[in-house]
Amino acid sequence: MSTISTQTQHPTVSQLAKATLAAVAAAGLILITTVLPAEYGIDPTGVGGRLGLGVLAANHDTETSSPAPAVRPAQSAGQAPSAASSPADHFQIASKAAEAFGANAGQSFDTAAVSLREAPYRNDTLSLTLEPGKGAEVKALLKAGDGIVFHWAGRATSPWTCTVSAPMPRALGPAMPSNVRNAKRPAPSPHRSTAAMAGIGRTVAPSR
Amino acid sequence: MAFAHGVTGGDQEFLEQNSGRNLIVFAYLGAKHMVTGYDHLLFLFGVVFFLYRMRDVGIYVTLFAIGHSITLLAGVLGGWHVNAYLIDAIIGLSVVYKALDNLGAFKQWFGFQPDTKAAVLIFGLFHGMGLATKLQDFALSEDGLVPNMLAFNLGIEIGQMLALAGILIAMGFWRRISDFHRHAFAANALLMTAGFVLIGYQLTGFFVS
Repeated sequence: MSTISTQTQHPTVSQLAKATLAAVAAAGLILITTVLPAEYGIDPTGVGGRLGLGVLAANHDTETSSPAPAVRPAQSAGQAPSAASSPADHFQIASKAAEAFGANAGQSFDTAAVSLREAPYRNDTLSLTLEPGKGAEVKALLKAGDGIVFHWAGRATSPWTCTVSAPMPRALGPAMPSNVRNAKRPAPSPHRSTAAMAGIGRTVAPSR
Repeated sequence: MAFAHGVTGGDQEFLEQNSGRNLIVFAYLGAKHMVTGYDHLLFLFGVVFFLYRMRDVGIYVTLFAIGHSITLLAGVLGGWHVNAYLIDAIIGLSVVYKALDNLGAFKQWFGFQPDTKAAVLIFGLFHGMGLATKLQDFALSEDGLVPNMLAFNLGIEIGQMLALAGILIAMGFWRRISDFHRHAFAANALLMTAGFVLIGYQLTGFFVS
């Protein structure tokens, strides 16, 4: 194993210190201006925002593959125009959700991701029969900022899964995953069983 | 995404829905993860930077592979719960460490050279934990988990060999240039910068999540 020291003139202690400090400084600059704004929406200098990187952070918030925190406030997406803000709103939403869905093990409901609405709700019910190993795609077209609350009840003889995603229609801008809940509810026994899940999906319009 | 780079999109859907033995697909995902994993590749790049003989390359890369295989398998099969952000920050630290090691900084600063083989093995253990945390984000089916994990691990090694081949070819051309040794200082300083970026990125994730 050779190091630079055996290959060429030894870098001096001060050269090494300068290189290390320069590396730390460059890394800090890169982090503050691009990485943190793009990944977490932390943008103290405003450079990330001017570069248009904030849109990524809004997206990252909703990625299901992250070690998802149980509750992620909608404000962090920066694009929720009328998200519930007061504890009273949250309580009201939570109780409405509990009323609609009941309590299911493994279910989570993010009250911060939805808002109360005065207009009447539209309700749809859909029944699907799936062949073993097959799936189905159910699409709902929403206006930007509108929410959808879904509840699946499944009768299955083997484990089944449900994934939810909300891409934007191409016409409106680049496809963006939206606020997504991803749930998996295996049926524990080979007997006919019922699994249920509930979740919400919200489309977020592109910022431009 | 929370980690340096993760498994996303359709691959994620597959992982969650898969049940039973599916060796080829898991091997492919392992290879893909390694080839597209810049954190692992940066470390490998640092490790082989001053290795001129294929025998040395083989020894160091084997040590790295042993390290990350142990913790990948133990982590997933043993159900360890390690914080992905902290592990990925340590992976960033491994990049900084290797860059400083290449620059001869430890000898210059502390008057002794830490064992390079031990360092690669130990950091290999952390890289494996990082790989494990990525997979543990998914509800992997218990059915066929052991063979699937072995296949994923094999895929990781295949991906590593492929990536390494690319790195070594590029390094071969680079070393032919007489300026290589002058570039070496700058290259390792840049490598260190990338490592610091990874550390900052992951630690921020740890504190904001």
